[in-house]
Amino acid sequence: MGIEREQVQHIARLSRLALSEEELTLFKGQLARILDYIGMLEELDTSATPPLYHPNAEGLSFREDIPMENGPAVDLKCLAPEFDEGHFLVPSILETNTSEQERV
Amino acid sequence: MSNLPFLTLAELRSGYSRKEFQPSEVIEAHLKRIEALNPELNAYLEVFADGARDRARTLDKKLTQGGPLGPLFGIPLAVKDVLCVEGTKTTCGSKMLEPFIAPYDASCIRRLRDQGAVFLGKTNMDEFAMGSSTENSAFGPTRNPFALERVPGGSSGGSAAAVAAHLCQAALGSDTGGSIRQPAAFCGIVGLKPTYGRVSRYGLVAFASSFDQIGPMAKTSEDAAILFWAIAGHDPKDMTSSARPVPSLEALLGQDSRRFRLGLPKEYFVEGMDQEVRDALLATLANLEGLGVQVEEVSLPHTPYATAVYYILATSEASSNLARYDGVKYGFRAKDADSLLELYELTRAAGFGPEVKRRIMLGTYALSAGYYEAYYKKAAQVRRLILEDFTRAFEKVDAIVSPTTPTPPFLLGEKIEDPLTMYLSDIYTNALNLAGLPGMSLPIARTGDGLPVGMQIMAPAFMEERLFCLGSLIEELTNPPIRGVPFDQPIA
Amino acid sequence: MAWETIIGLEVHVQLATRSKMFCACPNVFGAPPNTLTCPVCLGLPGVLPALNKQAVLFAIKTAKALDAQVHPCSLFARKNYFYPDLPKGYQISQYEQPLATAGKLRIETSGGTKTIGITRLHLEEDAGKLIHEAEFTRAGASYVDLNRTGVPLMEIVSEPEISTPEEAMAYLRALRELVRYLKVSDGNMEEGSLRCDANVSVRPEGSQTFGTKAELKNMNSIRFVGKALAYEVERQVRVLESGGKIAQETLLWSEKLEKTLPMRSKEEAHDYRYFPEPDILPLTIEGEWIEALPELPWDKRERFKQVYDLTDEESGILTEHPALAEFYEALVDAFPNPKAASNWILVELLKSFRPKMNRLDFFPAVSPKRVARVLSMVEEGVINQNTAKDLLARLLEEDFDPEAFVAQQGLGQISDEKALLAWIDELFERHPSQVNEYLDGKEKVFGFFVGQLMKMSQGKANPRLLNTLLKQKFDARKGAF
Repeated sequence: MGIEREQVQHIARLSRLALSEEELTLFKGQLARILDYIGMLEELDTSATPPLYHPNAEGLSFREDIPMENGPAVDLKCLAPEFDEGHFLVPSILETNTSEQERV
Repeated sequence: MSNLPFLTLAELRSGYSRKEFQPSEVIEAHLKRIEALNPELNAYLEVFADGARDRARTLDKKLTQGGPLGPLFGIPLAVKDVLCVEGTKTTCGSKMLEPFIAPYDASCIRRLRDQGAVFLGKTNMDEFAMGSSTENSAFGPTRNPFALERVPGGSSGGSAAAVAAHLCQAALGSDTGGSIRQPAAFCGIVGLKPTYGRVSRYGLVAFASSFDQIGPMAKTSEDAAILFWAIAGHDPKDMTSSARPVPSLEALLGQDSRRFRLGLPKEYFVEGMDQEVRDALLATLANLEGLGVQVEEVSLPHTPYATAVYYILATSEASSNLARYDGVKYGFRAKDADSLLELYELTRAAGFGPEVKRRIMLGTYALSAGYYEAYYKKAAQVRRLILEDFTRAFEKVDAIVSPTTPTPPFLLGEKIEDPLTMYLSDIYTNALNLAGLPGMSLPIARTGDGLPVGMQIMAPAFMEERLFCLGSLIEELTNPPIRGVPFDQPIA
Repeated sequence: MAWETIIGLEVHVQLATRSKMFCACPNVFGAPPNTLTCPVCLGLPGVLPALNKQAVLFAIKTAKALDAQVHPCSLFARKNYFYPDLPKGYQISQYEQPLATAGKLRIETSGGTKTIGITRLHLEEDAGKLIHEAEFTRAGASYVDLNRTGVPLMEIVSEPEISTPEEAMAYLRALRELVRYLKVSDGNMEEGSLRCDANVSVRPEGSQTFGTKAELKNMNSIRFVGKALAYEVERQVRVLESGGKIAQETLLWSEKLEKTLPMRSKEEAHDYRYFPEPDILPLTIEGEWIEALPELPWDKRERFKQVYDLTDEESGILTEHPALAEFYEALVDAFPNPKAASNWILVELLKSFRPKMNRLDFFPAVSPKRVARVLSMVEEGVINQNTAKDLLARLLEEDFDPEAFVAQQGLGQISDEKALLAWIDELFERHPSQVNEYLDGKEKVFGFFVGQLMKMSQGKANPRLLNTLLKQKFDARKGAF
């Protein structure tokens, strides 16, 4: 199973990884080999087998709806690379023409 | 140099109860040894020398005052740098988390602290636990204490090397596809991957959430049982942790394993298994048979597919788990990004190493539109077939045994350029993570070159006691006992 | 050409739990930025979700009320995308096996009653908020507030069976009323606890194929949903009639410009890479979790009409909020005149309730028993209507015993004929010219005398008796001439 250079680029974009030309070439080759290996699964008939997502699933435990009383336990200012006026900062994103949008 | 570091955890416990030594002496002896040997081994990324000394002094007072001691009173432990310890750096061996100081304790850390343990420091690992040699650490590789030119295994290579070199009594590792058992085998120690759901994952930086388990790495099966017992049990912070009660320590160590029926999976004896590894395993089984243990062949027919399934599912979960490292809330952030997209792409390109990038790409691919059914879903179906193999086999036998790794520890740099070959070195370990079952590696022999050989024991879910008891029996057979690097062997 | 409109709505309802969906941070509105956060909702390395049971119970209750099928086993899933308001890089949601499917909601419009199908109802977590170009923000930066991150949301997706903007508004009103009845959300669109996206397309009437749909966002009230849909339908028809094509795109409603505008196009199409959430085991619903439902709004409305003989409008208003309906029934219990009780509420009390009626915890700040006693005094002729109005206004401010107060303040009606006749005589003496005007046929002056007499009695004169006596006096004068 081969993989095209454009596919590798697309996957890198989906993964938010800026790849150099060399990395792109390297990964293309390595991914192709791995996918080729993985391709062995095709020979198995799994049409009657339900997928297994959670090993040893024995019943869900819940949290009772009790809010914690004290304020933030985390010092965000120390944690965050860029922090101002109580907020995390990112490069400006105004993704609307109206600039009054609040994403939902 | 004090001989205290060469004791086992169990010996240390009884020594404390008889007040033969104080926590400060024990801690100091370990810190001295770390100071002497760690520069060469690079097992620890950070040593909590001051914190450990302070804590030891507090415990000294407690010992003098008398009264009950916690189950892990004064036991010096090392912690793989994938676990959050409040107020200390938790890097996961990655540049991405180099600036990150954990603001909370992992649940298992909290438990161990409450039981009197002393943490000596954080150990090296493959970046985000992805690797089998600890060469993928952003902070340099760890060396195998048995042979410095060789890898200690991975991803918990730092913890394995620290235990083997007596730089701690025992350590915590994490195992997603063999990351405790394989380095334990390479470093001649005991390493347990508990049943999925037996130990809370809260505070364990996630690699592949439905595979990851925290487990003990120790010098003996008994020590591993003690540490396992200390961290096992339900945690409301981890919804995948089981509500089943944890057996008592006595129950964990009290089974008569001489009556066990052991299964030897025929599919494991394939091309690629080293002759010395094979001979060591068969010799051990022959000795066990001499004690009354029955050994028979079992079949795990889907074994050849395990590595493929593992690398699809684990990388898929990883691609999602590692999306949070984006330079916004914590950790590394690329400078001078002009747009949000650039911030993400540059931060992640510079913050992650090549193996992590490769696995994120593979996982993203397996989940992406048009490929989900063929890769992710297909692999999840085969995952069930692999579990069913084990379920059927365990109807006939109490435990299944195999080598832990196909070969003894390989050389630094030997496989790092070839990811697929590296992946295939986990061939005997990752099926258990797929099935969520417990497995333990313990040392059974040395090769002619003096390299450790490990054997893996596998048990049904929540039956860890079979591993500890069989392990203890095998330890009685090995003479002299292999408990890490021999005291007289110069490391550096 | 005649065009047919097809609308489907996706509604997100914030659940009124006390804590967030997966951590114990308080679920409250309006705290300083990032103060309602913890390692879990910040997505720190190593954290895991712990599912809030109440959120699940609220969603089950809503699904039941929508007559949907609640699945005995459902799965949580991860929806993967990068955005600064999503700290984990994925949203925990439900995808392949949602909590419930195949429900329905009955709506009332001017055209009558219609049932809209509900495709699915599932649970997910809310994202944080981004702030751009506020007073405190630096140039070139967007600010991230994660207080809202992890607040439990219920997503309710309708079938594309809504045919007009009016129906869409009726659907939203019905849904809002339902979640308030169930006490699962305050349903407040202005504060974002109920949010609505719409998929809208048009096609020639009678056509069997769907037209290309546009997705509308950013409509912060039911009224805006109506306006945005009306605008968008008109736009699409205009484009098609002039030979153009509708682009499949996301549009934002701008209230300022009163039009829909395309969102700046993204760099790539979304690929959310959904997969089952490994950190949460399958959600199995136990029978005992399914609580009995309260009387639902449409049932209550019907019962009020039948039992209390109210009009559509009266029962509609009185059942708008369950607490108001409860108040009405308690009032009728103590003052068994349903029509009068309804009138008094609608005319005298409602305006003071209104501002708080969009809150889940709204409760009429007056005891229905006290109100009943005031109304009974009117009916018994002890006080007149004006006094009753004053008393009700006072009762809204503070609690007191109305009968004792009436007695103490001497607010009872004066029905003493002698006293009233004496006041009339006095008045006639003081205003002889007005008396003559009346006798000359200017009957309007009668009102002047009533007014003066009410003043003299400090508003307490029994108005009916007063009228009778005044008329008699005038008649007597007429006879004297």
